[in-house]
Amino acid sequence: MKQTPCQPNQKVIIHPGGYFATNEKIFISTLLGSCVAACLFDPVKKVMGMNHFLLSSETYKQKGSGFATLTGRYGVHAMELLINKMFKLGAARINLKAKAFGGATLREFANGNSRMMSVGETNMRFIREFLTKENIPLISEDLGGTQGRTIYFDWRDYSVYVRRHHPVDLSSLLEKEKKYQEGMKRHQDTNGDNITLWN
Amino acid sequence: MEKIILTVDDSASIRQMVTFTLKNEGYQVVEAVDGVDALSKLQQTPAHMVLTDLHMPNMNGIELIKEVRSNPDFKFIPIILLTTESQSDKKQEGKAAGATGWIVKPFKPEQLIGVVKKVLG
Repeated sequence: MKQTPCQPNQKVIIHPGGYFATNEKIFISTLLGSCVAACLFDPVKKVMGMNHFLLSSETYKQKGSGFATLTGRYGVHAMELLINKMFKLGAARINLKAKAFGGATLREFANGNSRMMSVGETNMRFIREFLTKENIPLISEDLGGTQGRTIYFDWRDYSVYVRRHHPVDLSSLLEKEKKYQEGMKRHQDTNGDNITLWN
Repeated sequence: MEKIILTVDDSASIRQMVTFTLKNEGYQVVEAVDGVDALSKLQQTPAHMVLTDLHMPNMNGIELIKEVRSNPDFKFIPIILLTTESQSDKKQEGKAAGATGWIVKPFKPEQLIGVVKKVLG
């Protein structure tokens, strides 16, 4: 995941796999299908941030700890990147509050097997479970359903405005989400140079 | 003798993930929420190895390593940093503080177990 670059006093749009945190007067926006966006804010230190991630439903909750599965680990990592960036900007864990959006079951990702969760449902369950585990209050959510959403995170009072989209408007988003998911799997398969031992 | 590993992270999800991975391999795990808590837990239960996050409130991973290394009882305990940071200057800071190794998140469970087995022998 990469931090989305920006200039001050502008609206920042984040894309699948991106995240952005700020302590400046900046609106953050994204377009969501099956993906989930977590909008976190520290109203005391006036730091806010949003990420946009997509977890596959292949392994989540099939083992004893959902966070230890491939899917869960990626989700935890996506959240940690955002939270760490907010801490660097002065946020404190004890002040954090969350709003969560997305997790739609879109036609192309819908899974006919009733024993399996859809991608949207996996993302929805993950964010709720993660926030509960981390003791970060989820004060507002608009999750699930079958429609995409554009969301705007407002720096003035941390409101999030939601605009829903009819499924026929979402073909380009679906393509982006699929590419993002494929790229994520490639990264997980090839990641092997992340260890350094000195002694 | 069952090896004891102290895992230090302010994120409960990451502690759960690491603990689950290590316990599956037969290690005993003690958890701490930050550097201050880790020092206290080390006094109560001397661990064979420490896995610590870098960014934590109260006392971060680098400060924790320096504190541990200043105690003759724990001077040689292996300490691995688990972090999202991958910049070489940060790694050098960890090495200079006395870290044994550095793992960039996200990592696979088998990578973590591989490092633990290699370090603990």
